[in-house]
Amino acid sequence: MSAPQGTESEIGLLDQARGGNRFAFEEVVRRYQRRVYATAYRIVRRHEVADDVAQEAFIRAFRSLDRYDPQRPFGPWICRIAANLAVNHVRSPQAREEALPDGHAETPSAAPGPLQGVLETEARTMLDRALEDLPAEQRAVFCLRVFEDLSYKEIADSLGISIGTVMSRLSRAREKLRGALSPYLAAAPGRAGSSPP
Amino acid sequence: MIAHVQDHLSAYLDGELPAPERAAVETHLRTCPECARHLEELSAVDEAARELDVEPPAGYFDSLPGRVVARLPAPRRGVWGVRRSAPPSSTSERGFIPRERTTLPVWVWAAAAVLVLAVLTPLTFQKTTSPVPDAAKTEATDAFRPAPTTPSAEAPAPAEDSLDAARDKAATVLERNVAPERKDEKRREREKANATAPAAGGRTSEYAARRPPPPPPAPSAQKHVGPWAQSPAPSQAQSAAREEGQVEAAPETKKQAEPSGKSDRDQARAGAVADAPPPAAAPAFAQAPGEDRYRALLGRQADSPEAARKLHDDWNAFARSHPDSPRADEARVRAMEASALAFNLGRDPRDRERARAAAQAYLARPDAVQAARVRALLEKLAR
Repeated sequence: MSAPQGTESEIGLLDQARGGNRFAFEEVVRRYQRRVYATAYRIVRRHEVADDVAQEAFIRAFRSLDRYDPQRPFGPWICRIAANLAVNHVRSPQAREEALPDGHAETPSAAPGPLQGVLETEARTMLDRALEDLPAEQRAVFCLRVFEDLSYKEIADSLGISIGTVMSRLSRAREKLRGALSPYLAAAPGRAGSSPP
Repeated sequence: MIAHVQDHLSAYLDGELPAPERAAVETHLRTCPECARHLEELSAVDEAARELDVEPPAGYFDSLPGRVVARLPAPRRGVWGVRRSAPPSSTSERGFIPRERTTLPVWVWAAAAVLVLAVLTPLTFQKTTSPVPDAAKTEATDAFRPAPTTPSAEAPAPAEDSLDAARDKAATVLERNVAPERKDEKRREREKANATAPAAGGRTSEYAARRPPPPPPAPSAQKHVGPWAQSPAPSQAQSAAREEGQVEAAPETKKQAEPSGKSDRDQARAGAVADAPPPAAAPAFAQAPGEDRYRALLGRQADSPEAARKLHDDWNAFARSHPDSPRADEARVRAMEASALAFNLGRDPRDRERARAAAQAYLARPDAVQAARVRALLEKLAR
């Protein structure tokens, strides 16, 4: 599949969905569900909640299709809706009262992938737990930046916080994750090659 | 800047530092291996996090699109809340989306009938040229004519009220929605790279342009398929039904693909009563397709998680291959019960999630006749 074809098809689907064709929108859901679910899950860290968030994000997107600019990519737009809903959830008193499940038996787990060979399984587990242990606000900022590639201003606008708060939360989140991963980072010689902007 | 710059490295990594601070950090990094190493580690954290993937319980993504569509609000453009039919749901094989067929809900026809009666009945009996004697006319009027304001006040008004309320609610929700924000070209490129859809560009409009006007579908050819069909993957039966769904009915016979009983009502409404088969008072189980297979499945016992999973698969396969069978609904419910049994036997959370997802998908169906049974199953799973 080439990207232009996918984009062209996506515009057609969204046009039909905007006209009320639910089956076109169902196909849109089918295409973006993994990404939207992942966005939600990384923030809320519970499958049941991520499922609710993903559904609600798609429903809100469907209702707001009249406002959607088809010249813009749909993925970041729907993911931002999901991220906002996820952040709203983790900020809610109900979410604060809910204890995270013990262990990871009932939650999606980090799947082995390209990381294998660079970080050991133990390192992946440590990183996953470190992400889970982050305060929800820090985790949300980290996810919006690292996974959704939003700018600080976009994150600030999405979460209703200042750019300075975005900067500080992101810095703290990265430092905590770095602390959790530092033994493994030191052992990964190929890891230290990224160049600053 | 002489001191370490570690507090600024995160923003520097993102290119979000103002120019003067960025220049200062760069100057420092050239002379401080410790901070340079720190920056590399922060970057490595991002990379490692991006490589972590999340995977929901098995089968989750099979049911999510259908559940989302089932929860979508009613179209606001319809005059009477036009309801959508349930044609084929995937474009994965043919690559195009069928045009939606629409039908009116039953209550609209009932309300319209009451309204027509309310208007015509008094007019009919008030005709002065009627040959009916006054006494008989009075008797008939008293017997059959509703109270003057009752029909219009009771039947149509609630419908309008509910529609207005739905429209108001939808408008309120729209106002609360998150306003879409614009994205830059960099993210657009990333979006393209992330697209996972099959290449189907242009075929939708091509299909719409060349689709021929087909004959009205025969009642026996109607399939109960669509996004509510519970199946982990598009089946052959769905594919066949999908092709049927792409044949659009003539306007006067457009109707929703529904179980046989409802289709019969629609036919009667369209004036095709004489040609339509009489609606069955009870499903003809004895002659139902796949009845032997159904009975064989009923007799199967599962005493291990593997056997229960196999039973789940077989029930689902039955439901997919006989979507219009009166047994299909039972098969769907038994499939999720088999998953619950697999969980009880093996305590594998994936089995529980599969059962939950199937149960939720079932409850989202407009024809969830065994909703109470499925809700009870969900409650058991929650314990």
